[in-house]
Amino acid sequence: MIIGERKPLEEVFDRTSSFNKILVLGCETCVAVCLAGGKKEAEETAEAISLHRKKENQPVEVKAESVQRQCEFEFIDEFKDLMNDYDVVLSLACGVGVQTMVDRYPEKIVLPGLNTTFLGYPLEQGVWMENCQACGDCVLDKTHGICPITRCTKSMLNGPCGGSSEGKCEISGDIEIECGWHLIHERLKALGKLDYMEEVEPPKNWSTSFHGGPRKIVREDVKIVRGE
Amino acid sequence: MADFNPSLVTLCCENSAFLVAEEENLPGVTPVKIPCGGQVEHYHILNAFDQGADGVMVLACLKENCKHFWGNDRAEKKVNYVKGMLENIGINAERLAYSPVAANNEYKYGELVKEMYDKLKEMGPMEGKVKK
Repeated sequence: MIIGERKPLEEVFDRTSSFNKILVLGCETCVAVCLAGGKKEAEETAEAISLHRKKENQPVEVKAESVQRQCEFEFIDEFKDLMNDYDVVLSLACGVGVQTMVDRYPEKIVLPGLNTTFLGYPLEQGVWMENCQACGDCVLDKTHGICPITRCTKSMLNGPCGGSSEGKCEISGDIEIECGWHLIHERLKALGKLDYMEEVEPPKNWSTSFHGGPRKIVREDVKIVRGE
Repeated sequence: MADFNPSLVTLCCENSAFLVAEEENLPGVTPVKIPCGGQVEHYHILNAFDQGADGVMVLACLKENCKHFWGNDRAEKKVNYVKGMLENIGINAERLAYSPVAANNEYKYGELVKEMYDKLKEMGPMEGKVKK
Protein backbone atom coordinates (compact mmCIF):
# COMPACT_ATOMS: atom_id res chain seq x y z
CA MET A 1 0.00 0.00 0.00
CA ILE A 2 0.93 3.65 -0.23
CA ILE A 3 2.63 4.92 2.91
CA GLY A 4 2.58 8.58 3.83
CA GLU A 5 3.31 10.96 6.67
CA ARG A 6 1.41 14.09 7.55
CA LYS A 7 3.31 17.22 6.68
CA PRO A 8 4.76 19.08 9.68
CA LEU A 9 2.04 21.16 11.33
CA GLU A 10 4.03 24.36 10.81
CA GLU A 11 3.87 23.74 7.06
CA VAL A 12 0.16 22.93 7.21
CA PHE A 13 -0.52 26.15 9.15
CA ASP A 14 1.59 28.19 6.76
CA ARG A 15 0.00 26.81 3.56
CA THR A 16 -3.56 27.26 4.85
CA SER A 17 -3.00 30.64 6.52
CA SER A 18 -4.67 32.68 3.77
CA PHE A 19 -7.90 30.64 3.79
CA ASN A 20 -10.84 31.09 6.13
CA LYS A 21 -12.94 28.08 5.21
CA ILE A 22 -10.96 24.86 5.11
CA LEU A 23 -12.13 21.36 4.34
CA VAL A 24 -9.68 18.72 5.61
CA LEU A 25 -10.38 15.64 3.55
CA GLY A 26 -8.96 12.29 4.58
CA CYS A 27 -8.82 9.07 2.59
CA GLU A 28 -9.93 5.81 4.13
CA THR A 29 -7.70 3.49 2.15
CA CYS A 30 -3.88 3.21 2.26
CA VAL A 31 -3.12 6.36 4.24
CA ALA A 32 -5.77 5.50 6.83
CA VAL A 33 -4.13 2.12 7.39
CA CYS A 34 -0.75 3.77 7.91
CA LEU A 35 -2.41 6.18 10.36
CA ALA A 36 -1.48 9.28 8.40
CA GLY A 37 -4.53 10.46 6.47
CA GLY A 38 -7.76 8.74 7.55
CA LYS A 39 -10.78 10.23 9.27
CA LYS A 40 -9.09 10.35 12.67
CA GLU A 41 -6.06 12.13 11.28
CA ALA A 42 -8.31 14.53 9.34
CA GLU A 43 -10.11 15.36 12.59
CA GLU A 44 -6.93 15.95 14.54
CA THR A 45 -5.48 18.09 11.75
CA ALA A 46 -8.67 20.14 11.64
CA GLU A 47 -8.55 20.58 15.43
CA ALA A 48 -4.90 21.61 15.23
CA ILE A 49 -5.66 24.22 12.55
CA SER A 50 -8.60 25.52 14.56
CA LEU A 51 -6.56 25.82 17.77
CA HIS A 52 -3.67 27.46 15.96
CA ARG A 53 -5.95 30.04 14.36
CA LYS A 54 -7.60 30.79 17.69
CA LYS A 55 -4.19 31.35 19.17
CA GLU A 56 -3.31 33.68 16.31
CA ASN A 57 -6.67 35.41 16.73
CA GLN A 58 -7.61 34.54 13.14
CA PRO A 59 -10.82 32.51 13.38
CA VAL A 60 -11.33 29.85 10.76
CA GLU A 61 -14.12 27.53 9.73
CA VAL A 62 -12.65 24.10 9.39
CA LYS A 63 -14.37 20.80 8.79
CA ALA A 64 -12.96 17.27 8.72
CA GLU A 65 -14.36 14.66 6.38
CA SER A 66 -13.06 11.58 4.69
CA VAL A 67 -13.77 9.62 1.56
CA GLN A 68 -13.34 5.92 0.93
CA ARG A 69 -10.89 6.46 -1.93
CA GLN A 70 -9.72 9.89 -3.00
CA CYS A 71 -8.08 8.41 -6.08
CA GLU A 72 -11.35 7.54 -7.86
CA PHE A 73 -13.85 9.93 -9.36
CA GLU A 74 -16.89 7.94 -8.31
CA PHE A 75 -15.93 8.28 -4.65
CA ILE A 76 -15.00 11.95 -4.67
CA ASP A 77 -18.07 12.97 -6.65
CA GLU A 78 -20.16 12.76 -3.50
CA PHE A 79 -18.22 15.71 -2.04
CA LYS A 80 -19.05 18.10 -4.85
CA ASP A 81 -21.63 20.12 -2.90
CA LEU A 82 -19.60 20.16 0.29
CA MET A 83 -16.50 21.38 -1.51
CA ASN A 84 -18.36 24.39 -2.81
CA ASP A 85 -18.79 25.57 0.78
CA TYR A 86 -15.04 25.80 1.38
CA ASP A 87 -12.23 27.97 0.01
CA VAL A 88 -9.67 25.21 0.03
CA VAL A 89 -9.37 21.48 0.45
CA LEU A 90 -6.48 20.20 2.52
CA SER A 91 -6.17 16.65 1.27
CA LEU A 92 -4.70 14.01 3.52
CA ALA A 93 -4.66 11.52 0.67
CA CYS A 94 -1.50 10.47 -1.15
CA GLY A 95 -0.29 12.45 -4.14
CA VAL A 96 -2.55 10.37 -6.37
CA GLY A 97 -5.61 11.43 -4.38
CA VAL A 98 -4.64 15.11 -4.44
CA GLN A 99 -4.20 15.05 -8.21
CA THR A 100 -7.44 13.14 -8.77
CA MET A 101 -9.24 15.84 -6.80
CA VAL A 102 -7.61 18.57 -8.88
CA ASP A 103 -8.52 16.75 -12.07
CA ARG A 104 -12.16 16.45 -10.99
CA TYR A 105 -12.49 19.90 -9.46
CA PRO A 106 -10.11 22.12 -11.43
CA GLU A 107 -11.77 25.24 -10.09
CA LYS A 108 -10.92 24.34 -6.48
CA ILE A 109 -7.63 24.76 -4.66
CA VAL A 110 -6.49 21.42 -3.27
CA LEU A 111 -3.42 21.41 -1.04
CA PRO A 112 -1.47 18.33 0.04
CA GLY A 113 -1.46 17.74 3.77
CA LEU A 114 0.62 14.61 3.48
CA ASN A 115 4.01 13.65 2.16
CA THR A 116 3.58 10.50 0.09
CA THR A 117 6.57 8.48 1.13
CA PHE A 118 6.74 4.99 -0.39
CA LEU A 119 5.04 1.71 -1.29
CA GLY A 120 5.32 -0.68 1.58
CA TYR A 121 3.70 -2.67 4.32
CA PRO A 122 3.30 -2.58 8.09
CA LEU A 123 6.23 -4.50 9.55
CA GLU A 124 4.68 -4.26 13.00
CA GLN A 125 2.34 -1.85 14.78
CA GLY A 126 3.74 1.62 14.15
CA VAL A 127 6.51 0.51 11.75
CA TRP A 128 6.22 0.64 7.98
CA MET A 129 8.75 -0.68 5.53
CA GLU A 130 9.32 0.11 1.89
CA ASN A 131 9.43 -2.98 -0.29
CA CYS A 132 8.41 -2.01 -3.82
CA GLN A 133 9.47 0.78 -6.17
CA ALA A 134 6.89 0.02 -8.86
CA CYS A 135 9.65 -0.46 -11.43
CA GLY A 136 7.21 -2.04 -13.88
CA ASP A 137 9.32 -5.14 -14.53
CA CYS A 138 9.06 -7.41 -11.50
CA VAL A 139 11.96 -9.72 -10.73
CA LEU A 140 10.58 -11.21 -7.51
CA ASP A 141 10.30 -14.62 -9.20
CA LYS A 142 14.08 -14.76 -9.50
CA THR A 143 14.86 -13.60 -5.98
CA HIS A 144 11.97 -15.51 -4.45
CA GLY A 145 10.05 -12.63 -3.00
CA ILE A 146 12.72 -10.16 -1.89
CA CYS A 147 13.05 -7.16 -4.15
CA PRO A 148 16.65 -6.31 -5.06
CA ILE A 149 15.53 -3.00 -6.54
CA THR A 150 14.09 -1.82 -3.23
CA ARG A 151 15.88 -3.80 -0.55
CA CYS A 152 19.34 -3.31 -2.05
CA THR A 153 20.33 0.32 -1.48
CA LYS A 154 22.08 0.34 -4.86
CA SER A 155 19.26 -1.55 -6.63
CA MET A 156 21.80 -4.07 -7.86
CA LEU A 157 20.66 -7.06 -9.86
CA ASN A 158 23.84 -8.98 -9.17
CA GLY A 159 24.74 -8.78 -5.53
CA PRO A 160 25.89 -8.51 -2.88
CA CYS A 161 28.47 -5.82 -3.43
CA GLY A 162 31.61 -5.38 -1.35
CA GLY A 163 29.76 -3.08 1.04
CA SER A 164 27.81 -5.87 2.69
CA SER A 165 29.06 -6.73 6.15
CA GLU A 166 27.40 -9.09 8.62
CA GLY A 167 24.13 -8.72 6.77
CA LYS A 168 24.16 -4.94 6.91
CA CYS A 169 24.59 -2.40 4.13
CA GLU A 170 27.59 -0.12 4.22
CA ILE A 171 25.44 2.99 4.16
CA SER A 172 23.97 2.08 7.56
CA GLY A 173 24.36 4.96 9.96
CA ASP A 174 22.20 5.61 12.98
CA ILE A 175 19.61 3.36 11.38
CA GLU A 176 20.84 -0.08 10.40
CA ILE A 177 19.92 -1.08 6.88
CA GLU A 178 19.80 -4.74 6.05
CA CYS A 179 21.71 -5.83 2.97
CA GLY A 180 19.02 -6.80 0.44
CA TRP A 181 21.29 -9.33 -1.18
CA HIS A 182 22.11 -10.92 2.15
CA LEU A 183 18.37 -11.37 2.66
CA ILE A 184 18.04 -12.84 -0.83
CA HIS A 185 20.98 -15.18 -0.18
CA GLU A 186 19.45 -16.42 3.07
CA ARG A 187 16.09 -16.91 1.38
CA LEU A 188 17.58 -18.87 -1.52
CA LYS A 189 19.62 -20.94 0.93
CA ALA A 190 16.48 -21.85 2.90
CA LEU A 191 14.76 -22.88 -0.31
CA GLY A 192 17.77 -24.83 -1.59
CA LYS A 193 18.03 -22.57 -4.61
CA LEU A 194 21.45 -21.02 -4.10
CA ASP A 195 22.32 -21.87 -7.71
CA TYR A 196 20.66 -18.62 -8.69
CA MET A 197 23.45 -16.68 -6.98
CA GLU A 198 25.78 -17.94 -9.71
CA GLU A 199 23.64 -16.56 -12.51
CA VAL A 200 24.49 -13.21 -14.01
CA GLU A 201 21.53 -10.97 -14.60
CA PRO A 202 21.74 -8.75 -17.68
CA PRO A 203 21.05 -5.03 -17.33
CA LYS A 204 17.45 -4.34 -16.41
CA ASN A 205 15.01 -2.70 -18.76
CA TRP A 206 14.36 0.53 -16.92
CA SER A 207 12.06 1.91 -19.63
CA THR A 208 9.14 0.40 -17.71
CA SER A 209 10.09 2.43 -14.65
CA PHE A 210 9.58 6.15 -14.06
CA HIS A 211 12.55 7.06 -16.19
CA GLY A 212 10.35 7.16 -19.27
CA GLY A 213 7.99 9.71 -17.75
CA PRO A 214 4.53 9.14 -16.23
CA ARG A 215 3.30 5.65 -17.06
CA LYS A 216 -0.12 4.76 -18.34
CA ILE A 217 -1.89 1.43 -18.78
CA VAL A 218 -4.65 1.20 -21.38
CA ARG A 219 -6.91 -1.87 -21.35
CA GLU A 220 -9.16 -1.79 -24.41
CA ASP A 221 -11.02 -4.85 -23.15
CA VAL A 222 -12.36 -3.02 -20.11
CA LYS A 223 -12.65 0.52 -21.47
CA ILE A 224 -16.18 1.80 -21.80
CA VAL A 225 -16.88 3.48 -25.09
CA ARG A 226 -19.81 5.89 -24.75
CA GLY A 227 -22.83 4.74 -26.73
CA GLU A 228 -22.00 1.04 -26.48
CA MET B 1 -3.75 35.03 38.19
CA ALA B 2 -5.73 35.11 41.42
CA ASP B 3 -9.03 35.89 39.69
CA PHE B 4 -8.63 33.24 37.00
CA ASN B 5 -10.57 29.98 37.40
CA PRO B 6 -9.29 27.44 34.89
CA SER B 7 -11.38 24.89 33.12
CA LEU B 8 -9.83 21.42 33.41
CA VAL B 9 -11.06 18.37 31.52
CA THR B 10 -10.08 14.95 32.87
CA LEU B 11 -10.44 12.08 30.39
CA CYS B 12 -10.89 9.17 32.79
CA CYS B 13 -10.81 5.44 32.12
CA GLU B 14 -14.10 3.94 33.23
CA ASN B 15 -12.27 1.09 34.92
CA SER B 16 -10.20 3.26 37.23
CA ALA B 17 -10.02 7.03 37.35
CA PHE B 18 -13.66 7.63 36.47
CA LEU B 19 -14.84 5.54 39.41
CA VAL B 20 -13.05 8.06 41.61
CA ALA B 21 -13.86 11.12 39.52
CA GLU B 22 -17.61 10.59 39.65
CA GLU B 23 -17.46 10.58 43.45
CA GLU B 24 -15.48 13.80 43.55
CA ASN B 25 -17.15 17.00 42.47
CA LEU B 26 -14.35 19.43 42.05
CA PRO B 27 -15.19 22.95 40.82
CA GLY B 28 -13.80 23.77 37.38
CA VAL B 29 -13.09 20.10 36.63
CA THR B 30 -15.09 18.19 34.03
CA PRO B 31 -14.52 14.43 34.15
CA VAL B 32 -15.27 12.58 30.90
CA LYS B 33 -15.74 8.83 30.95
CA ILE B 34 -13.73 6.90 28.37
CA PRO B 35 -13.92 3.13 27.81
CA CYS B 36 -10.14 2.69 28.12
CA GLY B 37 -7.06 4.91 28.05
CA GLY B 38 -6.17 3.28 24.75
CA GLN B 39 -9.37 4.63 23.22
CA VAL B 40 -8.28 8.24 23.61
CA GLU B 41 -7.52 9.70 20.22
CA HIS B 42 -5.39 12.73 19.55
CA TYR B 43 -8.38 14.69 18.35
CA HIS B 44 -10.30 14.03 21.58
CA ILE B 45 -7.61 15.88 23.49
CA LEU B 46 -7.30 18.67 20.92
CA ASN B 47 -11.08 18.96 20.80
CA ALA B 48 -11.22 19.50 24.57
CA PHE B 49 -8.81 22.42 24.18
CA ASP B 50 -10.74 23.70 21.18
CA GLN B 51 -13.94 23.60 23.21
CA GLY B 52 -12.39 25.90 25.80
CA ALA B 53 -10.43 23.76 28.24
CA ASP B 54 -7.36 25.42 29.76
CA GLY B 55 -5.92 22.03 30.60
CA VAL B 56 -6.54 18.36 29.90
CA MET B 57 -5.55 15.31 31.91
CA VAL B 58 -5.73 11.74 30.68
CA LEU B 59 -6.11 9.43 33.66
CA ALA B 60 -5.91 5.69 33.09
CA CYS B 61 -5.14 2.52 35.03
CA LEU B 62 -1.92 1.76 36.87
CA LYS B 63 0.99 0.27 34.96
CA GLU B 64 0.39 -3.37 33.98
CA ASN B 65 -3.12 -3.14 35.38
CA CYS B 66 -5.09 -2.34 32.23
CA LYS B 67 -8.09 -4.54 31.52
CA HIS B 68 -7.15 -4.33 27.86
CA PHE B 69 -3.44 -5.02 28.49
CA TRP B 70 -1.78 -1.92 27.03
CA GLY B 71 -4.50 0.73 26.94
CA ASN B 72 -2.76 2.80 29.61
CA ASP B 73 0.62 2.58 27.87
CA ARG B 74 -0.96 3.63 24.60
CA ALA B 75 -2.70 6.54 26.33
CA GLU B 76 0.60 7.77 27.70
CA LYS B 77 2.23 7.58 24.28
CA LYS B 78 -0.65 9.43 22.69
CA VAL B 79 -0.45 12.16 25.32
CA ASN B 80 3.24 12.58 24.59
CA TYR B 81 2.49 12.81 20.86
CA VAL B 82 -0.19 15.44 21.41
CA LYS B 83 2.20 17.40 23.63
CA GLY B 84 4.42 17.68 20.55
CA MET B 85 1.45 18.84 18.50
CA LEU B 86 0.58 21.47 21.12
CA GLU B 87 4.11 22.83 20.96
CA ASN B 88 3.81 23.08 17.17
CA ILE B 89 0.51 24.87 17.56
CA GLY B 90 2.09 27.27 20.05
CA ILE B 91 0.34 26.05 23.18
CA ASN B 92 2.26 25.24 26.34
CA ALA B 93 2.49 21.44 26.44
CA GLU B 94 2.35 21.59 30.24
CA ARG B 95 -1.38 22.12 29.83
CA LEU B 96 -1.68 18.42 29.06
CA ALA B 97 -0.78 15.62 31.44
CA TYR B 98 -1.03 11.87 31.78
CA SER B 99 -1.26 10.03 35.10
CA PRO B 100 -2.21 6.55 36.25
CA VAL B 101 -4.83 6.39 38.99
CA ALA B 102 -6.24 3.35 40.77
CA ALA B 103 -10.01 2.98 41.14
CA ASN B 104 -9.76 3.07 44.92
CA ASN B 105 -7.32 5.95 45.23
CA GLU B 106 -9.51 9.00 45.68
CA TYR B 107 -6.74 10.82 47.48
CA LYS B 108 -4.38 10.54 44.51
CA TYR B 109 -7.01 11.68 42.04
CA GLY B 110 -7.81 14.72 44.14
CA GLU B 111 -4.14 15.47 44.63
CA LEU B 112 -3.25 15.17 40.92
CA VAL B 113 -6.18 17.27 39.82
CA LYS B 114 -5.49 19.96 42.41
CA GLU B 115 -1.84 20.08 41.42
CA MET B 116 -2.80 20.50 37.73
CA TYR B 117 -5.51 23.02 38.58
CA ASP B 118 -3.08 25.15 40.57
CA LYS B 119 -0.54 24.96 37.75
CA LEU B 120 -3.15 26.10 35.22
CA LYS B 121 -4.19 28.92 37.54
CA GLU B 122 -0.61 30.08 37.56
CA MET B 123 -0.27 29.72 33.78
CA GLY B 124 -3.42 31.70 33.09
CA PRO B 125 -5.98 31.20 30.30
CA MET B 126 -4.99 29.13 27.34
CA GLU B 127 -3.07 30.88 24.59
CA GLY B 128 -5.52 32.66 22.30
CA LYS B 129 -8.53 32.00 24.51
CA VAL B 130 -11.04 34.83 24.56
CA LYS B 131 -11.38 36.05 28.12
CA LYS B 132 -14.98 36.40 29.28
